[in-house]
Amino acid sequence: MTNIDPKAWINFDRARLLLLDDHPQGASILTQIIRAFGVTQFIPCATIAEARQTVLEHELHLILVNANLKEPGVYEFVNWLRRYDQPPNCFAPVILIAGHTQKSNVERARDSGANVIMAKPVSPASVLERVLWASREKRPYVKCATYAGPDRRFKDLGPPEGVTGRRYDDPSEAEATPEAESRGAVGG
Amino acid sequence: MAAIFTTWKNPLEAMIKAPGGMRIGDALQRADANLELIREPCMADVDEQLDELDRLSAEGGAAPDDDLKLNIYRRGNDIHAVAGVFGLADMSAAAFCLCELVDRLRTQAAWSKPAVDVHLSSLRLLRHPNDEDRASVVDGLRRLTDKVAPLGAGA
Repeated sequence: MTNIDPKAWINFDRARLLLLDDHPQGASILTQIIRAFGVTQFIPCATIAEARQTVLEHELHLILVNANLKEPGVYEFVNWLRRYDQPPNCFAPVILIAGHTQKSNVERARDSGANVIMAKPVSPASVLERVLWASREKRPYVKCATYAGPDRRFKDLGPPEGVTGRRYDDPSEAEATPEAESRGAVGG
Repeated sequence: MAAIFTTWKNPLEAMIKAPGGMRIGDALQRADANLELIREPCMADVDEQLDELDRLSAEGGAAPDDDLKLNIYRRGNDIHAVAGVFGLADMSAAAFCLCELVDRLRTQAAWSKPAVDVHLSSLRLLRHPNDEDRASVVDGLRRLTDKVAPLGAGA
C-alpha cells in the first residue's frame, strides 16, 4: 500500500465530484470506490458535452476523467476547463486516469492541464492517495499561449541524498565547492 | 501572450480535514466490499470483450482497416482497466501488451494477425490462471511485440 495512514480521517461530505467516463464498467468501478469514501455529491457524465454542462452549472471540487474516452476531445476538455476563467471550477483539481496511452497522445496528456495522471488499473488506495495529493496541491496555476494548468516546474534540489551529481552545477555539488560557499558568504 | 500566474487555495483540502467523516482504513475496506458487488458483471463484460476481440481479429484477417485496429485497441484497453481491479494483474498486463502492439502496428501502418492472436490466446489463458508460469506469458508477449513491431520502425 501507500503513504496514507489508515487511522487518519477523511470527510468528503461537502465535496462535489465530477466523473467523466464513457466505459460503463470503468465508471462503475470508480463510482463504487468514490462512494465508499463518503462522497455523496457525485455527478457522473458519459460524454464531454455533459461534463461541460456540469462545469457550467455546478461548483466542483474534484474532477476525475477517463483519459481513454471513445469520444475524441478528452484533452481538449481539460484545456477548455483551465481556460474557462470562472473560479473555482477552472482551478478544480483534475485527475486524468489513463490506461495504455497511444504514442501520439502522450504529450497531449502531459500538456492538458491535469494535476495528476494516474495509471489504470486503479485500486481504492491508489485513488485515495492521488485524491489526497491533489487536494494538497499548492502549485500556482499558469496560463500562457501554449499551456494552461498547474505550474509544472519543480524546484531543482539536485540528485538524491547520498548520490554524487554528474554535472558541475548540480545544486549538491555547487553547495559543496569553496566557490559556492564564498558566493553564499557575500550574499550573492 | 505573457504567462499569467495565479495562486489558488484549493478548498478540497479543508473539506477533507473537516470534523466527521470516516477513518481511511474503514473507507478502503468499504471500497473493497463495494467492488466485490460488481465483480461478476465486470468479469462478464471482460468475457464479452474477449469474444468480440476474437471476432474482430477473424473479421480483419491479414489487413484490417484502421477502424477495426482501433476497435481492438480500445477493447484491449477496457480489459486492461477492469481485469487488474479484480486480481487478474497478469491478464491486465497482457491486455496492455496487446494495446502496445496494436498501437505500434497502427503507427507503422502494418499488421500481424498471428501476433495479435497470440495475445488473444494469452488473455484467454490468463482469464483463469492456474499455473505459476503466468508471469512468463506476459514476458513472452513483450518480447513478441518488440520483435514484430520494434519501436521506431516505420515511423
